[in-house]
Amino acid sequence: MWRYAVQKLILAIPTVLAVVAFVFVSIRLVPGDPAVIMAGDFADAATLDRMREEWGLNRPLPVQFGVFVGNLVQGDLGNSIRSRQPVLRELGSRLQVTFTLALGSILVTLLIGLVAGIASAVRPYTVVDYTSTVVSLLGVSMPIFWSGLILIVIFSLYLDWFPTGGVGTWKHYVLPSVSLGVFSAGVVARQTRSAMLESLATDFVRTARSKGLPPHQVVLKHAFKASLIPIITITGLQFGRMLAGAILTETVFNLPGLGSYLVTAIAQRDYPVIQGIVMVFALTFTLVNLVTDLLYPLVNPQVNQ
Amino acid sequence: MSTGSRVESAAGRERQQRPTARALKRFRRHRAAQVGLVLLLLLLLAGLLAPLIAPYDPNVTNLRLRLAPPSWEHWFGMDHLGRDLFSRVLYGARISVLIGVISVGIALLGGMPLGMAAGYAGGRVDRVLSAVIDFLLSFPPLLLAILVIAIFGPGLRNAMIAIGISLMPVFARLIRAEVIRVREEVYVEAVRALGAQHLRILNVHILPNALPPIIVQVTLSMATAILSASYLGFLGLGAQPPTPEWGAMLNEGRRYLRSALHVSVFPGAVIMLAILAFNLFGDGLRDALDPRANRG
Repeated sequence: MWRYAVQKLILAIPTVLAVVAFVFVSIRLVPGDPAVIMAGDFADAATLDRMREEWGLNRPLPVQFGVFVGNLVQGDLGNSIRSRQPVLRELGSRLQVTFTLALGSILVTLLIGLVAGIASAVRPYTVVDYTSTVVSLLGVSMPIFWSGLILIVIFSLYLDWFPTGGVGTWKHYVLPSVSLGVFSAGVVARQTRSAMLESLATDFVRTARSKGLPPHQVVLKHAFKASLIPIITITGLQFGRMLAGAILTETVFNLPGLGSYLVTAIAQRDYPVIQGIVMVFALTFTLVNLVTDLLYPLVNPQVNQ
Repeated sequence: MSTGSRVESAAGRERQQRPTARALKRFRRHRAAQVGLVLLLLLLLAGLLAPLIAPYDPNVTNLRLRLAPPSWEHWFGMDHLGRDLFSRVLYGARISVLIGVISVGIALLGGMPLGMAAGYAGGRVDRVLSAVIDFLLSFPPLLLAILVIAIFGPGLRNAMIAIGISLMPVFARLIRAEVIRVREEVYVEAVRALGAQHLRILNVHILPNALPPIIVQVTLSMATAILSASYLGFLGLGAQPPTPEWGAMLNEGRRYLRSALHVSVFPGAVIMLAILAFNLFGDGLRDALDPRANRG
């Protein structure tokens, strides 16, 4: 197990470096002089020179990248052009909002996706299965912002159960989490159904049944356990999509997270902030992929070999 | 005749049919796919005939009727500037279809040579290109599209390019896998032994036989493209006002949820129907063209 984990950790290092290089190069593809973009069209030559010096824009690109990585390791993502504050400080509190939302959404996804998927597989080609399939399809086809608006209308404006937006208590996260989680629940339900159908048809499940084990034990202890690898894989992938989806959900529910800040930063052309947020998102995807890989041997010891 | 032999003779008959006829027959039996096809045709017709069937100009404002609810004169009601929502939704179909076609076209144009080169060349070329494709695939398409918009600026044209780029790795990976599968076929070996040029082998012998899954992916990617465009429009990073793009319309309407729900409901509902149509049609097409790919 430890050897496998260390192997995966070592393999993740070039991926992290590739992510950092990709984001660094992407932001430098912005057409025009970065100093003019940051200082504004009416900045004088002295200000532009100072900007170039301050941001190291007058140095060769590989040197700029080296300095950037060095600063990144020390937790320095530069300063925001608009607020003049360190980007890392700006992202700090917003990071918490986005991750709370992502965790809430993944809970909703797993709850709905697993229950619907298992129910479909246990009773295939019945009303339960068809209902679950239709609901999954609707979930996948429904735009995140639209489900969010509908939830606001029903549960905030008419029933007055939850706030329409903002942060404060756990109640502020319920509707955004449901809105974002439902989208991925359909995907997880489809994958769970497919994996469970395969497991339920295997010899060891037939043996468990013939031993006289109660149906819930056969399904949950034997078949479900054997279906976990594809379910973990798809959930890991969905977590990445959720962080991207958070950009929309945060905008709909006025949550002060990384997603809504990214949209503002793009409108203001605040490139250090854009770079910082995309970097945080991209590194989180890499981390989630790593965690997914590390979970495999826990559910199936054969993966170690 | 026993049930077994009836089944066997039916299977035999199906084997004797041409692959296209077999696929068509399977597609006709797929009810959900037919629902998708009907919805798709409606979407296409709405887009193509928008100037003829839209009752009003989508950009003409009538402030006296701003936020008016649905009525016989204005089926979907009026928006916050007093524009006919039904006409705007019809014109929106035209924009969405355009976005889907252009974005997926860009993804195909970029992904195809990449996938073909990786799959056909193999070895080091494949390893390097596959690493690039896998790396890009690890980014969610929406984030990749937003990154491209952050670089080149908001707008409909840049949104289509951004979505095209974000879908490119999906096509590259699929085409690579298909090329690897087909290049090992005996007939490809035969034309290679006859001395055919690499480009001819790829274009004439490999690509046509790799088409079915690519066609399915094109259909499913159209759904992703339209959805991504609506997301970008909603965030103000895609189509700009007064373009009647569905996502942007929904964004304009969300300020009036309490007083004029219809301004948000109709654009949202048509986005969902369009995505549903492409998903149903794409799933049906996959089952018809490659029944082995039907996963549960």
